[in-house]
Amino acid sequence: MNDDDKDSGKDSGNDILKIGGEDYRSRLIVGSARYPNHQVLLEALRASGTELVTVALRRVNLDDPTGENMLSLLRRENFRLLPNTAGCYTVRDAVLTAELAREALGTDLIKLEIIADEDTLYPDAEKLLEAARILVDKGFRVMPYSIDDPITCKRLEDIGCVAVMPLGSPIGSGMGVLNPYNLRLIRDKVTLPLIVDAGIGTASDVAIAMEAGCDAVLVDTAIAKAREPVLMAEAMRAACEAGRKAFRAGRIPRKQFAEASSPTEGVVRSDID
Amino acid sequence: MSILLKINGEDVRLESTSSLAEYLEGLKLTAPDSGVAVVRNGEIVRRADWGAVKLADGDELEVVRATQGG
Repeated sequence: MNDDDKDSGKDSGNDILKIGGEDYRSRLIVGSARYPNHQVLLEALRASGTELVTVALRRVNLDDPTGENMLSLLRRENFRLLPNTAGCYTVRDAVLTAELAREALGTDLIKLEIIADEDTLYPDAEKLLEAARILVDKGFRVMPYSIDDPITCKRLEDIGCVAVMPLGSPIGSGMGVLNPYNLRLIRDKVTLPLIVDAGIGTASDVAIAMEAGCDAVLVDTAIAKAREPVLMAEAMRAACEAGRKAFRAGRIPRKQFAEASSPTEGVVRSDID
Repeated sequence: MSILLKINGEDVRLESTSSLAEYLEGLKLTAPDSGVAVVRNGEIVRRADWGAVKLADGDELEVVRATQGG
Protein backbone atom coordinates (compact mmCIF):
# COMPACT_ATOMS: atom_id res chain seq x y z
CA MET A 1 0.00 0.00 0.00
CA ASN A 2 2.92 2.32 0.62
CA ASP A 3 3.85 2.48 -3.03
CA ASP A 4 0.23 3.07 -3.94
CA ASP A 5 0.03 5.92 -1.47
CA LYS A 6 3.12 7.45 -2.97
CA ASP A 7 1.63 7.05 -6.43
CA SER A 8 -1.57 8.83 -5.52
CA GLY A 9 0.08 12.18 -6.11
CA LYS A 10 -1.83 13.75 -3.23
CA ASP A 11 -0.49 16.60 -1.14
CA SER A 12 3.23 16.10 -0.93
CA GLY A 13 5.21 19.10 0.26
CA ASN A 14 6.35 20.22 -3.18
CA ASP A 15 3.28 18.73 -4.86
CA ILE A 16 4.90 16.41 -7.36
CA LEU A 17 2.63 14.13 -9.37
CA LYS A 18 3.93 10.58 -9.74
CA ILE A 19 2.65 8.40 -12.57
CA GLY A 20 4.12 4.95 -13.08
CA GLY A 21 7.25 5.87 -11.13
CA GLU A 22 7.92 9.13 -12.98
CA ASP A 23 7.66 12.61 -11.48
CA TYR A 24 5.70 15.45 -13.02
CA ARG A 25 5.49 19.06 -11.90
CA SER A 26 2.74 19.88 -14.38
CA ARG A 27 -0.68 18.36 -13.90
CA LEU A 28 -1.79 19.00 -17.44
CA ILE A 29 -1.37 16.28 -20.03
CA VAL A 30 -1.88 17.72 -23.49
CA GLY A 31 -2.85 16.04 -26.75
CA SER A 32 -1.10 16.84 -30.01
CA ALA A 33 -4.04 16.42 -32.41
CA ARG A 34 -6.14 18.89 -34.36
CA TYR A 35 -3.84 21.94 -34.17
CA PRO A 36 -3.76 24.28 -37.17
CA ASN A 37 -0.05 23.52 -37.69
CA HIS A 38 3.09 22.33 -35.93
CA GLN A 39 4.16 25.83 -34.93
CA VAL A 40 0.91 26.51 -33.05
CA LEU A 41 1.10 23.04 -31.53
CA LEU A 42 4.57 23.70 -30.16
CA GLU A 43 3.71 27.14 -28.84
CA ALA A 44 0.56 25.84 -27.18
CA LEU A 45 2.43 22.95 -25.57
CA ARG A 46 5.02 25.35 -24.20
CA ALA A 47 2.34 27.73 -22.92
CA SER A 48 0.49 24.88 -21.19
CA GLY A 49 3.56 23.96 -19.18
CA THR A 50 2.88 20.29 -19.86
CA GLU A 51 5.56 17.64 -19.60
CA LEU A 52 3.57 14.75 -21.10
CA VAL A 53 2.13 14.84 -24.61
CA THR A 54 -0.11 12.22 -26.21
CA VAL A 55 0.54 10.88 -29.69
CA ALA A 56 -1.22 8.34 -31.91
CA LEU A 57 0.23 5.65 -34.16
CA ARG A 58 -0.88 5.68 -37.76
CA ARG A 59 0.15 4.21 -41.07
CA VAL A 60 2.94 6.12 -42.80
CA ASN A 61 1.74 7.84 -45.97
CA LEU A 62 3.86 5.99 -48.53
CA ASP A 63 3.45 8.80 -51.04
CA ASP A 64 4.90 11.33 -48.61
CA PRO A 65 6.78 9.33 -45.99
CA THR A 66 8.85 12.20 -44.57
CA GLY A 67 6.14 14.87 -44.64
CA GLU A 68 4.73 14.36 -41.19
CA ASN A 69 7.53 14.06 -38.68
CA MET A 70 6.11 15.76 -35.63
CA LEU A 71 8.05 13.49 -33.35
CA SER A 72 11.44 15.14 -33.76
CA LEU A 73 9.83 18.48 -32.84
CA LEU A 74 8.41 17.05 -29.62
CA ARG A 75 11.65 15.26 -28.76
CA ARG A 76 13.69 18.41 -29.32
CA GLU A 77 11.59 20.16 -26.65
CA ASN A 78 12.04 17.25 -24.23
CA PHE A 79 8.36 16.43 -23.88
CA ARG A 80 7.71 12.94 -22.61
CA LEU A 81 5.41 10.98 -24.88
CA LEU A 82 2.23 9.12 -24.06
CA PRO A 83 1.18 7.02 -27.07
CA ASN A 84 -2.46 6.07 -27.31
CA THR A 85 -4.48 3.27 -28.86
CA ALA A 86 -7.11 5.68 -30.17
CA GLY A 87 -9.33 4.30 -32.90
CA CYS A 88 -9.05 0.69 -31.72
CA TYR A 89 -12.29 -1.26 -31.35
CA THR A 90 -10.84 -4.65 -30.42
CA VAL A 91 -8.55 -5.99 -27.71
CA ARG A 92 -6.28 -7.44 -30.40
CA ASP A 93 -5.82 -4.11 -32.20
CA ALA A 94 -5.27 -2.21 -28.96
CA VAL A 95 -2.62 -4.68 -27.77
CA LEU A 96 -0.88 -4.64 -31.17
CA THR A 97 -0.94 -0.83 -31.24
CA ALA A 98 0.54 -0.68 -27.74
CA GLU A 99 3.32 -3.03 -28.79
CA LEU A 100 3.98 -0.96 -31.91
CA ALA A 101 4.13 2.18 -29.78
CA ARG A 102 6.63 0.57 -27.45
CA GLU A 103 8.75 -0.44 -30.43
CA ALA A 104 8.42 2.92 -32.19
CA LEU A 105 8.95 5.19 -29.20
CA GLY A 106 10.81 3.12 -26.66
CA THR A 107 8.25 3.73 -23.92
CA ASP A 108 6.09 1.22 -22.09
CA LEU A 109 3.64 3.95 -21.10
CA ILE A 110 0.36 3.52 -22.98
CA LYS A 111 -2.92 5.36 -22.93
CA LEU A 112 -5.27 2.46 -23.50
CA GLU A 113 -8.40 3.35 -25.40
CA ILE A 114 -10.90 0.84 -26.78
CA ILE A 115 -13.90 2.49 -28.33
CA ALA A 116 -17.31 0.83 -28.29
CA ASP A 117 -19.45 3.13 -30.36
CA GLU A 118 -18.87 5.77 -33.04
CA ASP A 119 -21.47 8.28 -31.89
CA THR A 120 -20.40 8.58 -28.28
CA LEU A 121 -16.81 7.30 -28.60
CA TYR A 122 -17.56 5.72 -25.25
CA PRO A 123 -15.03 3.19 -24.05
CA ASP A 124 -15.86 -0.51 -24.04
CA ALA A 125 -15.48 -1.41 -20.36
CA GLU A 126 -15.35 -5.17 -20.85
CA LYS A 127 -12.68 -5.09 -23.55
CA LEU A 128 -10.79 -2.40 -21.66
CA LEU A 129 -10.39 -4.63 -18.61
CA GLU A 130 -9.28 -7.54 -20.76
CA ALA A 131 -6.75 -5.49 -22.71
CA ALA A 132 -5.47 -3.84 -19.52
CA ARG A 133 -4.78 -7.28 -18.00
CA ILE A 134 -2.88 -8.41 -21.09
CA LEU A 135 -0.81 -5.22 -21.31
CA VAL A 136 0.02 -5.17 -17.59
CA ASP A 137 1.21 -8.79 -17.97
CA LYS A 138 3.38 -7.70 -20.89
CA GLY A 139 5.05 -5.08 -18.72
CA PHE A 140 3.27 -1.96 -19.93
CA ARG A 141 2.45 0.94 -17.66
CA VAL A 142 -1.19 1.25 -18.58
CA MET A 143 -3.22 4.45 -18.38
CA PRO A 144 -6.75 3.38 -19.31
CA TYR A 145 -9.39 5.72 -20.70
CA SER A 146 -12.63 4.62 -19.03
CA ILE A 147 -16.14 5.68 -18.22
CA ASP A 148 -16.55 7.67 -15.01
CA ASP A 149 -17.59 4.61 -13.05
CA PRO A 150 -15.91 4.02 -9.69
CA ILE A 151 -16.28 0.23 -10.01
CA THR A 152 -14.53 0.06 -13.39
CA CYS A 153 -11.82 2.40 -12.14
CA LYS A 154 -11.30 0.29 -9.02
CA ARG A 155 -10.99 -2.85 -11.15
CA LEU A 156 -8.45 -1.14 -13.38
CA GLU A 157 -6.46 -0.26 -10.26
CA ASP A 158 -6.64 -3.87 -9.04
CA ILE A 159 -5.39 -5.12 -12.41
CA GLY A 160 -2.23 -3.04 -11.98
CA CYS A 161 -2.72 0.04 -14.13
CA VAL A 162 -0.63 3.09 -13.20
CA ALA A 163 -3.48 5.63 -13.39
CA VAL A 164 -7.20 5.79 -14.04
CA MET A 165 -8.51 8.15 -16.69
CA PRO A 166 -12.28 8.52 -16.59
CA LEU A 167 -13.99 10.80 -19.08
CA GLY A 168 -15.59 14.06 -18.00
CA SER A 169 -17.93 13.85 -21.00
CA PRO A 170 -17.57 12.40 -24.53
CA ILE A 171 -14.31 12.95 -26.42
CA GLY A 172 -14.23 16.26 -28.24
CA SER A 173 -17.66 17.28 -26.92
CA GLY A 174 -16.40 20.16 -24.77
CA MET A 175 -19.24 19.54 -22.31
CA GLY A 176 -16.89 19.55 -19.35
CA VAL A 177 -17.26 17.42 -16.24
CA LEU A 178 -20.89 16.29 -16.38
CA ASN A 179 -20.76 14.25 -13.21
CA PRO A 180 -18.40 15.69 -10.61
CA TYR A 181 -20.12 13.49 -8.02
CA ASN A 182 -18.75 10.39 -9.78
CA LEU A 183 -15.27 11.89 -9.83
CA ARG A 184 -15.45 12.33 -6.09
CA LEU A 185 -16.62 8.72 -5.70
CA ILE A 186 -13.70 7.54 -7.83
CA ARG A 187 -11.38 9.72 -5.76
CA ASP A 188 -12.60 7.92 -2.64
CA LYS A 189 -12.29 4.43 -4.16
CA VAL A 190 -8.99 4.67 -5.99
CA THR A 191 -5.53 5.59 -4.73
CA LEU A 192 -3.92 5.69 -8.18
CA PRO A 193 -3.49 9.02 -9.94
CA LEU A 194 -6.91 10.10 -11.15
CA ILE A 195 -6.84 11.93 -14.46
CA VAL A 196 -9.85 13.35 -16.24
CA ASP A 197 -9.51 12.44 -19.88
CA ALA A 198 -11.93 13.84 -22.44
CA GLY A 199 -14.73 16.35 -22.50
CA ILE A 200 -12.90 19.46 -21.28
CA GLY A 201 -14.31 22.55 -23.02
CA THR A 202 -12.76 25.49 -21.25
CA ALA A 203 -10.61 26.51 -18.30
CA SER A 204 -13.31 26.26 -15.61
CA ASP A 205 -13.86 22.60 -16.50
CA VAL A 206 -10.24 21.92 -15.61
CA ALA A 207 -10.61 23.77 -12.32
CA ILE A 208 -13.74 21.78 -11.45
CA ALA A 209 -11.94 18.50 -12.07
CA MET A 210 -8.95 19.54 -10.00
CA GLU A 211 -11.13 20.86 -7.17
CA ALA A 212 -12.89 17.48 -7.11
CA GLY A 213 -9.54 15.94 -6.22
CA CYS A 214 -8.29 14.80 -9.59
CA ASP A 215 -4.51 14.57 -9.87
CA ALA A 216 -4.30 15.75 -13.46
CA VAL A 217 -6.35 16.57 -16.52
CA LEU A 218 -5.82 15.62 -20.16
CA VAL A 219 -6.80 18.27 -22.70
CA ASP A 220 -6.55 18.27 -26.47
CA THR A 221 -9.42 19.62 -28.56
CA ALA A 222 -10.30 22.41 -26.11
CA ILE A 223 -6.87 23.93 -26.73
CA ALA A 224 -6.28 22.90 -30.33
CA LYS A 225 -9.66 24.13 -31.58
CA ALA A 226 -9.89 27.30 -29.49
CA ARG A 227 -9.84 30.49 -31.54
CA GLU A 228 -6.44 31.22 -30.00
CA PRO A 229 -4.89 27.92 -28.96
CA VAL A 230 -1.83 29.39 -27.27
CA LEU A 231 -3.90 31.74 -25.12
CA MET A 232 -6.23 28.87 -24.21
CA ALA A 233 -3.23 26.75 -23.26
CA GLU A 234 -2.21 29.49 -20.81
CA ALA A 235 -5.74 29.58 -19.42
CA MET A 236 -5.78 25.81 -18.95
CA ARG A 237 -2.49 25.95 -17.12
CA ALA A 238 -3.72 28.67 -14.77
CA ALA A 239 -7.00 26.83 -14.14
CA CYS A 240 -5.19 23.60 -13.41
CA GLU A 241 -2.90 25.29 -10.92
CA ALA A 242 -5.79 27.21 -9.32
CA GLY A 243 -7.98 24.12 -9.02
CA ARG A 244 -5.16 22.10 -7.53
CA LYS A 245 -4.36 24.78 -4.96
CA ALA A 246 -8.03 25.12 -4.03
CA PHE A 247 -8.26 21.36 -3.51
CA ARG A 248 -5.17 21.34 -1.31
CA ALA A 249 -6.36 24.39 0.60
CA GLY A 250 -9.72 22.78 1.41
CA ARG A 251 -12.91 24.56 0.44
CA ILE A 252 -15.44 25.79 3.02
CA PRO A 253 -18.59 23.72 3.45
CA ARG A 254 -21.65 24.80 1.52
CA LYS A 255 -24.42 26.26 3.70
CA GLN A 256 -28.11 26.73 3.20
CA PHE A 257 -28.22 30.31 4.54
CA ALA A 258 -26.08 33.41 4.61
CA GLU A 259 -23.42 33.93 7.24
CA ALA A 260 -22.16 37.50 7.68
CA SER A 261 -18.47 37.91 7.07
CA SER A 262 -18.03 41.27 8.86
CA PRO A 263 -18.27 41.25 12.71
CA THR A 264 -21.85 41.34 14.01
CA GLU A 265 -20.71 43.10 17.23
CA GLY A 266 -20.30 46.90 17.43
CA VAL A 267 -22.35 47.81 14.41
CA VAL A 268 -23.31 51.54 14.45
CA ARG A 269 -27.00 51.98 15.26
CA SER A 270 -28.86 55.27 14.81
CA ASP A 271 -31.53 56.02 17.49
CA ILE A 272 -33.52 58.16 15.13
CA ASP A 273 -36.55 56.37 13.70
CA MET B 1 12.18 -10.90 -60.61
CA SER B 2 9.77 -8.46 -59.03
CA ILE B 3 7.70 -9.17 -55.95
CA LEU B 4 4.24 -7.95 -55.01
CA LEU B 5 3.55 -6.91 -51.44
CA LYS B 6 0.71 -5.29 -49.60
CA ILE B 7 2.01 -2.32 -47.62
CA ASN B 8 -0.38 -0.26 -45.52
CA GLY B 9 -3.25 -1.80 -47.45
CA GLU B 10 -1.88 -0.90 -50.89
CA ASP B 11 -0.34 -3.15 -53.52
CA VAL B 12 3.34 -2.30 -53.88
CA ARG B 13 5.60 -3.88 -56.49
CA LEU B 14 9.32 -3.98 -55.73
CA GLU B 15 11.76 -4.68 -58.52
CA SER B 16 14.08 -6.87 -56.55
CA THR B 17 14.06 -8.74 -53.30
CA SER B 18 15.38 -6.36 -50.70
CA SER B 19 15.67 -6.33 -46.96
CA LEU B 20 13.13 -4.49 -44.86
CA ALA B 21 15.89 -2.07 -43.83
CA GLU B 22 16.67 -1.27 -47.48
CA TYR B 23 13.02 -0.66 -48.25
CA LEU B 24 12.60 1.67 -45.25
CA GLU B 25 15.87 3.42 -46.07
CA GLY B 26 14.38 4.24 -49.47
CA LEU B 27 11.53 5.98 -47.66
CA LYS B 28 13.99 7.72 -45.29
CA LEU B 29 12.33 6.13 -42.27
CA THR B 30 15.28 4.54 -40.52
CA ALA B 31 16.54 7.42 -38.37
CA PRO B 32 16.61 6.41 -34.69
CA ASP B 33 14.07 9.11 -33.77
CA SER B 34 11.75 8.44 -36.72
CA GLY B 35 9.21 6.82 -34.39
CA VAL B 36 8.52 4.07 -36.90
CA ALA B 37 7.46 0.49 -36.21
CA VAL B 38 6.70 -2.35 -38.59
CA VAL B 39 4.36 -5.32 -38.58
CA ARG B 40 5.10 -8.08 -41.11
CA ASN B 41 2.47 -10.74 -41.63
CA GLY B 42 0.97 -9.98 -38.23
CA GLU B 43 4.22 -9.97 -36.27
CA ILE B 44 6.17 -6.93 -35.12
CA VAL B 45 9.66 -6.80 -36.58
CA ARG B 46 12.05 -5.34 -34.04
CA ARG B 47 14.22 -2.52 -35.32
CA ALA B 48 17.33 -4.62 -34.70
CA ASP B 49 15.99 -7.22 -37.13
CA TRP B 50 15.11 -4.88 -40.00
CA GLY B 51 18.38 -5.64 -41.79
CA ALA B 52 17.97 -9.41 -41.53
CA VAL B 53 14.38 -9.61 -42.79
CA LYS B 54 14.13 -10.21 -46.56
CA LEU B 55 10.88 -9.09 -48.10
CA ALA B 56 9.10 -11.84 -49.99
CA ASP B 57 6.33 -12.05 -52.55
CA GLY B 58 2.94 -11.84 -50.84
CA ASP B 59 4.22 -10.22 -47.61
CA GLU B 60 1.83 -7.90 -45.83
CA LEU B 61 3.44 -4.96 -44.07
CA GLU B 62 2.11 -2.28 -41.79
CA VAL B 63 4.50 0.64 -41.47
CA VAL B 64 3.34 3.01 -38.74
CA ARG B 65 4.72 6.03 -36.99
CA ALA B 66 3.86 8.33 -34.12
CA THR B 67 1.73 11.23 -35.23
CA GLN B 68 -0.77 13.73 -33.85
CA GLY B 69 -3.10 12.17 -31.30
CA GLY B 70 -5.23 13.03 -28.30
